[in-house]
Parts: sequence; structure tokens; C-alpha cells
Amino acid sequence: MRILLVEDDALLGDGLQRGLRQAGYEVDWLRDGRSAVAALAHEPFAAAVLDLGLPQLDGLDVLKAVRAAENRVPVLILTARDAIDDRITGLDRGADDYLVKPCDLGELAARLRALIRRSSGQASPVYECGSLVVDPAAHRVTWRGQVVDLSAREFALLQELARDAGRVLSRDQLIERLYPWGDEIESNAIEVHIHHLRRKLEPGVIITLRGVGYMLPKDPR
Amino acid sequence: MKRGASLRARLLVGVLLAMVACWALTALVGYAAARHELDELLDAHLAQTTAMIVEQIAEDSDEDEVEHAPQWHRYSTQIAFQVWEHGRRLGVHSKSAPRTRLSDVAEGFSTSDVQGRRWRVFSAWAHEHDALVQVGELVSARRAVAGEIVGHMLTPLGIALPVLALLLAVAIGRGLKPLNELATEVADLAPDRLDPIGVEGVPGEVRPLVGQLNGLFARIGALIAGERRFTADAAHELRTPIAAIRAQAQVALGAAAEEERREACANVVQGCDRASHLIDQLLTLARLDAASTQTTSPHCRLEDVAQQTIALLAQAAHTKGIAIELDAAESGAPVACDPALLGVLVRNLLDNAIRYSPGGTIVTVTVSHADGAVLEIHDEGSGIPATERARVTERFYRVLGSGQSGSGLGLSIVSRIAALCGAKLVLEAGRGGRGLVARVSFPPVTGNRKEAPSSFRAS
Repeated sequence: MRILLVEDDALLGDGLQRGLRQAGYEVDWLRDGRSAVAALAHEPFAAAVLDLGLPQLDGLDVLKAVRAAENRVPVLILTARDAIDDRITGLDRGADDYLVKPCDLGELAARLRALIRRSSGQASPVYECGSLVVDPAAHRVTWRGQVVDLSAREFALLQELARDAGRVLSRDQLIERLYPWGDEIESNAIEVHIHHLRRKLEPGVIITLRGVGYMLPKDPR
Repeated sequence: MKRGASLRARLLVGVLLAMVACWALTALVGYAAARHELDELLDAHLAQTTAMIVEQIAEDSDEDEVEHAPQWHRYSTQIAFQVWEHGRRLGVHSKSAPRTRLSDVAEGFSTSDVQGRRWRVFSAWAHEHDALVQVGELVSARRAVAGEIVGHMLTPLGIALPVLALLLAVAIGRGLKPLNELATEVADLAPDRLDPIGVEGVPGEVRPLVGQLNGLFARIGALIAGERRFTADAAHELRTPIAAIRAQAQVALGAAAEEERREACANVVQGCDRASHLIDQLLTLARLDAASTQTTSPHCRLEDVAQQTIALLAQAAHTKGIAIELDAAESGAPVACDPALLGVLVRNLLDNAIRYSPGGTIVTVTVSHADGAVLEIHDEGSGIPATERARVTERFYRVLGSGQSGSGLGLSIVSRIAALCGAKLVLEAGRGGRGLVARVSFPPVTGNRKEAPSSFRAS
């Protein structure tokens, strides 16, 4: 799941990127407001972590631009500004959550999970598609009650499909959602991971629509 | 009265004492005047009475002897007359009259002591009858009358005194009411709520005091606000480095690979260095704020301080691949500034130059001496946009996008030290618009020692 991290402090940005990666996210890290607006306009991030004091364009202005473009991506503000007024302003300008530095990486990851879950209209913390249960917090997948051992990539791919269960996702969409910039992507990367998933679960779980993409049915069998 | 005694008691006692003194003086003058007027009046009466008796003798020439004249008034005992036939035999006389002559003086006014009593006497000769007529009046009686007059005058005043004291006390109390109200108003103030006291309704005498108080409140308020802002800023500025340390530490804890863990740990150390640098800078600034400019300071040579500072930062520059060059005037550039402070100034400027310069560039430090010493630090880094140059000396102001995690305090510290030493800090674009030139111009050192802080100790 791809998260956009916008933070101008080098050491903190590095720590957050690594920490969120450990929590199972793919993290793209930008250091200024203007490129954050551009990135959010063109890439399908599951959520964004936004600092407020940013070069070129302040975090609140980034938020304003993003919401003006009717982009509903969940945004979590992570800032040193702890005054109540700042929090209120942040939330009122369209942030979905507000965390004050310093924060716990675990809490940040949990809040992001909650934001992403709510943004996909789901109340439960786990994705349930029939006998398939994907638990993002525990990083665990069960198929017919049995825990399935998946690699990080496979898990991320399955999670994306589960988030949009019943909808077809194209190969390009999946790549955009899964791979941060700068990652070397094999041309058949998605196909390979789908193949592995089918082998570990059951061939019929993920449906291929030739020329369109892949779909996880709401009730796979 | 003691210095600290209440105004009310002071005023009351003062006014009452003044009044009593006035009354006493009036009574004294009144007594003297009454006696004088009384003497004149009674003397006239004496003379008149004597004349009447003399006439009487003339009319009643017969020999019927009346021993005593009748006494018609209690006051009569104080008055006496004698008729001395042929000047020797006591004839008609009043009952109150003594047996001896009232006075030895045979004509006009005289004062004499008879049988231990002092008399005022008028004597006259009734020549036709060859008789001496003497009419006398007891001097003590006259004194008593004068005393009584003054007494009657003073009695109502004596009764009035307590009443007056009471009324005065009330009036003074009312007069001092604005002071009490002022005290209440001051009592309601708190260090975080120092609203100026209104001068409306404050008496003119107290107004300067209120003015001074309000001035003091304003200064204290500004001081407290400054402290508070500084604390809030400091807390805010420390959040990011601490957040970074925390994130990196958690990454290290959660790292699966040894290399990732080591890298995160190294970052934790780096974050701690940064945080402690920030704290150092904060403390330096706090000390500079507290430093006064009233004490004299030793002189020092700018090029010496520059040299020492360059030596301190040489390793950091070398690590980044930056060369530092010192170009110092031979004549020497004395500066009236504490060497420790000057060291902090040079270190911050040089640190900025190294921080914001890419590797392979040169930082030039020039010390020259024209009209006062001049320090110039020229780097070939990204410089500071003209629009931001005025703001970079503000506390915690950072040029965003510089990619560097400075404390945002370096130039605030430099400009504060420059101000303390009477120097001027100017930032301009470097030669050919590249990099930045930071120029600090010190005032010329005169024979008299200049004012500069000495209470400062560099950390």
C-alpha cells in the first residue's frame, strides 16, 4: 500500500520512511509542498502523511489544493505545531487526522490503517471476502481458516485487491498502488505475484479478465 | 511621627496641632488685647469715679460721716475708694477699702501694693475741701476679667476640637479613597495579566505614580511575553529533532536486517547531536538575552579569534570537502568585544558557510581594518534569496528547502552579539551573485574602553 510522506526534515523523513516500510507500507517521500501536490494529483496513494512547515508550499496550502481538486485521499497531518487552534485549523482544512511530533511509529501506522480502512468504506479492521480474511494490522491472511504464508509483495497485492474486492484493477493501477518511485519493476512482476498468490491460495480466488486486469470477487471460491 | 505612619494619622495630627497652635496664639493675642482695652476702659472709669467723688464732696460739704459707701454689686469688693481729709484722716471710704492709703501718689494713676494686694489707683485732690480722693481697683480683678473673656472665647473652640477631629478624619478618609481604590486595582493584577491602570478618577498627585507603574507593567509584560514566546518556540523547535530520534530508534528496534539496524542507530546518534546543538544554541541565545552591555570588556584581536575558530571547524569543513582560507590584515584588527562572544559569532557564521556550501568549494574569511575592524565570510553555497535576507536573523527562521537541519538560531545569535558589541551585520550576495557574504563591521576602538558585555560565558 503506497503512502506519500511529505516531510522536509531529512533525519525524521528517513526515520518515518523506514518505519512505515517496516509496518508494511510502500513509502514515497517528498520534501516540499509543491511536488506533494503534483504527486497526489497523479498517483493513487492510499494515504498521505503531511508536515505543515514545508518549503515552497505550506502543508495547509497543500491540503487546500488537494481538496480543491476533489481528491479524497486520507491525509494525516504530522507536525510540531501542537496548539489547539492549529489542530482545529488542520482538521477543518480537510485533514483526516492530526498527530503532533514526536509520535510513535506504531501509532502512526495504526492511524494510517484506520484512515485507509475508513476511506474504502469499511468499518471492520480486516478485509473479509468470503473465506478470505486479510488483516493489515497483523499482516496476516487466512484462507478457509488456515493462515497463509505470503511475502510482503504478495501480501500488499492481495490487500489492494481486497480493498477493492469486486472491482477490476488493471496491471498499471496495481503497479501505481504498489511500487514507489525508483523501484525496479520487472515487466511481468504483477503476473508473477498473482501466480504465486493463486498457488498459495487457490487458483480460482483471483480472477483474470484478459486485457482488463484482475479482480478479487467478494465471495471467492 | 514615624516615616511609615499612616497618611491619615499624619494628616489628622498635623491639622489638629496646627489648629490648636493657631487657637493658642489667638488666645494669647486676645488676652493681651483684652487686658489693654480693659485697662483703658477701667482706668477711665476710675478717673471718672474719682472726679464724681471729688464733686460729691464739694456738694455734701456737711460733716455727716458715712463710714462706708453701700455695696451694690458683687464686683464692688474689687473696687475701693477712700477720701483722705487733709490728706491724712480717712474720711468716707468704701467697705472694701483698706485702712491705709491706697497709693502714695497724690495725683493721677498709680499702681501700688497694699496689704499684699495690688491695686490700680487714681488719686485726685479736692482742693476746696482739702481732701485726697483715691479710687482703686484690684489688679487681680482686671486679670480675671481678661482671663474670663479669653476663656469664653476658647470654650466653644475646645468643645469643637473633638468634633473637628472626627470630621477631619472622615474628610481625610474620603480624600484618601482613590489611594485605596488604586491599591485594590493593583492587588487584582497578576504577572500574566498586567493591564495598565486607568488614570481616570486618579488624583493629580497620584497620577505620576500610576504612570510609572503602568510603564513598569508594560516592561514586565513584554519581558514575560518574550520569555514565554522563547519557551514555546524552543519546545516547538525541539519536537522535530526528538521526533526524528524516536522514529529512528523505533526503526532500529523493528529492523530485521543488521545493516538497517546499524544505520538507524547511527541516525539516532546524529539526531541526538542535532538536538544538543539546538539546545546549545538556545542556551547561548538565552544567555545573550540576559547579558547586559554595561560592563567594560577586554579588547581582542579579530584575526586571532578568526584563526582559532577556523581551527575548530577545520575538521568539519574537511569532511565536507570544503577549503577554508583566512585572509587577515597584517596591521591587526582590534575589536572591543569579549573574545568568547566574538568566538561564538565567528563560529556561527563559519558553521553556516560550511553547512550551506557544497563540497569542493572555498570559504574565505577576510579580516580587514579600515575604520574599525571588518570580518567577511564568503561562501560559494546556495546563498540566501534577497527577499529572505532580512528575515534570517529572526529566531527559528529557516530558509526552507535548504536541505539542512540547522537550529534556525545561528544568525539570531550572530546579530545579537553584533548588537552587544556595537557591530553591524550585513548579508549580501557573493561575488558574481554566487554564495553569500556575511560582513560584520565593528566600530573603531577608541582610547576609552567601549561598552560590551562581560557577564557572558560561552558554552
